[in-house]
Amino acid sequence: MTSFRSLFVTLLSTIFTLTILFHYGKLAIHSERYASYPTNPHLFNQGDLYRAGKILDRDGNILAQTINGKREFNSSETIRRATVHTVGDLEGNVATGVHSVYFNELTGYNFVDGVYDSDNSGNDITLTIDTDMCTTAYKALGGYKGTVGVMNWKTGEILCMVSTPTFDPYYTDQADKDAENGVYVNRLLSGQYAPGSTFKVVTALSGIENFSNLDDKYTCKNGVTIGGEWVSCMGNHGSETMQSGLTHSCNSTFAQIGVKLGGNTLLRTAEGLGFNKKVNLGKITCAKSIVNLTNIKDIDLGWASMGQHDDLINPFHYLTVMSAIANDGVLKEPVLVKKVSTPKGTTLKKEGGSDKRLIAKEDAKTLSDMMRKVVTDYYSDSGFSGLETCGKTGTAEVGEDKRPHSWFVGFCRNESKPYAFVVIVENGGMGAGIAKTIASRVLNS
Amino acid sequence: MSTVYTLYLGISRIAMPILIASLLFLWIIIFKKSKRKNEALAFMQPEFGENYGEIFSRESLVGKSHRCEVRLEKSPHKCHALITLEKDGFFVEPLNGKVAVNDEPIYDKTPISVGDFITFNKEMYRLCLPEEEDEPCKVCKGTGFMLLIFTLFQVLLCGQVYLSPNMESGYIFPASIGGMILIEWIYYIVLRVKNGHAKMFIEIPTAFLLSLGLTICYSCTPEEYVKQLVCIGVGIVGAFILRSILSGLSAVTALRYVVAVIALGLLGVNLIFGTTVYGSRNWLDLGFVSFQPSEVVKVAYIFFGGVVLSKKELSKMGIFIFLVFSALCMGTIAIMRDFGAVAIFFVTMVVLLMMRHAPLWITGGITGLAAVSAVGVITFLPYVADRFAAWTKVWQYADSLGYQQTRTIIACASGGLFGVGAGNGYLKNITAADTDLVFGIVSEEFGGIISFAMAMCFVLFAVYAVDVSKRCRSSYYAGTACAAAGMLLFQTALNIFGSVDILPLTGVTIPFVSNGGTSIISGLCILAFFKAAEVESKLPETIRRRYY
Ligand SMILES: [Zn+2]
Repeated sequence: MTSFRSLFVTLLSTIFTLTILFHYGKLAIHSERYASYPTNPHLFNQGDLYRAGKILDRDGNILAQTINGKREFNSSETIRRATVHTVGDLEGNVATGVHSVYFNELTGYNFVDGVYDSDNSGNDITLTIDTDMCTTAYKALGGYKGTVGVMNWKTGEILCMVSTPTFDPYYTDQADKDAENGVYVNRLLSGQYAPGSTFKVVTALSGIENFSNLDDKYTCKNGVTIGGEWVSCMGNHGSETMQSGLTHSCNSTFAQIGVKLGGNTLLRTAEGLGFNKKVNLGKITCAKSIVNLTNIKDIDLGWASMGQHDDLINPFHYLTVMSAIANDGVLKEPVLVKKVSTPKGTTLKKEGGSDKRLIAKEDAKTLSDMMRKVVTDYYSDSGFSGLETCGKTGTAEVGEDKRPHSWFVGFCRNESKPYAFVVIVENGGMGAGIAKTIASRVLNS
Repeated sequence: MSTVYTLYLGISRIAMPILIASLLFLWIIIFKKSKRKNEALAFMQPEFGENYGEIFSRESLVGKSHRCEVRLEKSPHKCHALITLEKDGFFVEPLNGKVAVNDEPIYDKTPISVGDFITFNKEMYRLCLPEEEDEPCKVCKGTGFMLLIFTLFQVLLCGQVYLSPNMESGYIFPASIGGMILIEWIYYIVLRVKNGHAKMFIEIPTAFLLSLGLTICYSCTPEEYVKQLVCIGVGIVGAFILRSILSGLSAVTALRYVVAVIALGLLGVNLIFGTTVYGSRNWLDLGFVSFQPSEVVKVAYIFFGGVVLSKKELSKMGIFIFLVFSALCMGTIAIMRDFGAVAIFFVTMVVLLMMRHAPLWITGGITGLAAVSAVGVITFLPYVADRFAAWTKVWQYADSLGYQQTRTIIACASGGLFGVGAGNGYLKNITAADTDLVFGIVSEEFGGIISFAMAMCFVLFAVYAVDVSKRCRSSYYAGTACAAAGMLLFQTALNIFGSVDILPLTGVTIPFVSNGGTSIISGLCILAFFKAAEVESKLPETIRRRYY
């Protein structure tokens, strides 16, 4: 009875304690979001991030830094525009930008120590990107919307990451007007595109993995009938092997290969390459690549096998797939942040370093040789001399009255230029054309 | 920032939370060790049967009601009679039923002694004493160690404030903290000499809260620092005065209506002549000093509520008088638009009603009524509705209605677990931050560990009050101690959770920490209820002297 009297006070104390713990729990989970709110006077001055370290490219060129309490970007407008999607703006418009995602590293903020920092300067971040390559890609893209990504398949380092349309981080109020065109979207990391013929590489790999004989013939008469419905091809290729079908980008061939493999087999290969799975670049969360191949009709499987149906590819993910093919099937963990270091130079953190096998070594070699033949036999090596380029182009239809997206993906086998690349030009038109030209300019820079 | 300061801050910002965490840890350990079991003062041994009545408190009810210490089976009355223990020994007083002592019928309060036969209606009992003497109070070791840890904390705090480039480096802060340390140790030594042991379960947390409050005051409004010190002094003196009044129940009973009239008078004057600050008309400006009458009334409310709900009056008009008084207090304060204070009074009322065994239907009915009127207030008063509009979605109104809350949350995140150092925060620059947003200021400058400890101090008060109330010989002290704890805790909850958007922002203060003279004085006075209950929880000297 005596304890019943004071029950109410005990109850109050319990609720109080639980609620205060709830407050701290919430704080621990969202601390970074709260601290990075632009009115936090510890880190921001009238909305401008001022207490943050430098962001440097691989050669030590400064992309962003704080001078006298003000955040400054590179002095060249071209460099600012070419790197803004990687570096990020100060208002968090580019959600995948280093300024947003690596906020803790840059400002030295963490939940335990708060904003406390004895020298009040944050930490420096050195990126793996090559500013020259980025500006070349930005210029090569011209007025087109699109993206260029280049990755070193030996080390996993991202060398070039450009997305257009772009903006000048000094003038975000102008860019705001362009926001609906996706000016704030890093197309390489956050984009999802219909892959067009570039998906034939995945179907070919599945064939390599599952067929005992790669010399089987497939017929093409401006197309082929699958399950009673017509799949059209751009050419009348007659009889094709997998290799020649890839070289000529024959739809009939790959529709038949896909059906022969079956949806589940093709899906197994695709998922082995990372389709339908989370894609991360360091701390940055990227969009997924998506294929739907279970329980579909043969005709849809046929279309899906050559990248039409409802396949969607994230360009950065496809860049990792190209890297794995180039590197004997092993994917080096992609790296954008080379290191985080104090202003005095002590390294606090390095990213990357892990390996992951996506493809068996012999299969990767076979596929690589096939892609090499695509370049030598069909497009010729002009523009890529000495690089030993392997690749596949693609054309993705995007609607009745619009020019299709133009793709070029692949890698250089030359050990001195171990680059995997992805180039997408929105509404760039048919086939190799524009995407291939851009790739050639970037790889030769 | 000088190198000395950087180095000092780097060390002290880690050391201070560790000291305070170990302080709270010690508090709990010592508290657990010093817990004593509840010994009966006396027994009522029945003539027939095994139905012993154990008398724990200074006033024990006899009757058939379940809340009676001595339960009668054959009496028709819920509250048949009252047995009290006063300075001169035990007394019995008939309330509703017939009572006889040694077969002599009695009609008034009559002294009884051990061995007497008391008849309630037809049931006869004999007053007996427990056979063994109660075990000597365990010496509470460790209080000195606790105080030592706390002193270290204060010294470190002093250094942080003195060296900080963002605060005035005068001698007044070190001097006042030094004075506090001196007083703490003198107090401790006096207790040791007088009682052979020292219990400071209430005093040390209070001193911790006051130190935080002083630091915030010194960094936000240095011009009010001296005023704050004076108020603390007045509060301590007030607490001692109240404590000595509380030491005799007869004085409390005599003063109850005086206190009630003063309280209502103050509120009335406030209603007519009050000044409006931040939307609430709860300030009274006397020209030379301005204060918040509602703060003073808090003390009076507990004081009065405790008496009128005493067991003796419960059988009469106690509940009715108490409810009328509560309604008058809350009504006036509601008219002054201080709805936070109304909520605090309400919670205190519920605690008191529960502590005094008011029938559940009364408590339940009142709570229901309160809920309905709260909904009405929220719906129909635009000023209150505004505060509810931003509630739980402050980030959408980050620069308007949610300004204070978002800045507080940002400050909490910025402080991390160890803080950025006294005076180095920014939250203090916001209007009224030193009263409404002190939790944020403490979180920002001293970190999450210390701000958590700050909040937990009020839980410790409640734990202490609940424990002491179970052993209290007088239900007056048990009731008022719990009411005081409930009041302090709920007020803190309103402030903290309001500032971090778990509750709507109400603009009440955190006792002892928030800047505000009246709030500190009344807070300190309320502590007298804990200390009074603590003494009352021991076996009374009168019993020892007379019967052993
Ligand atoms: Zn064909």
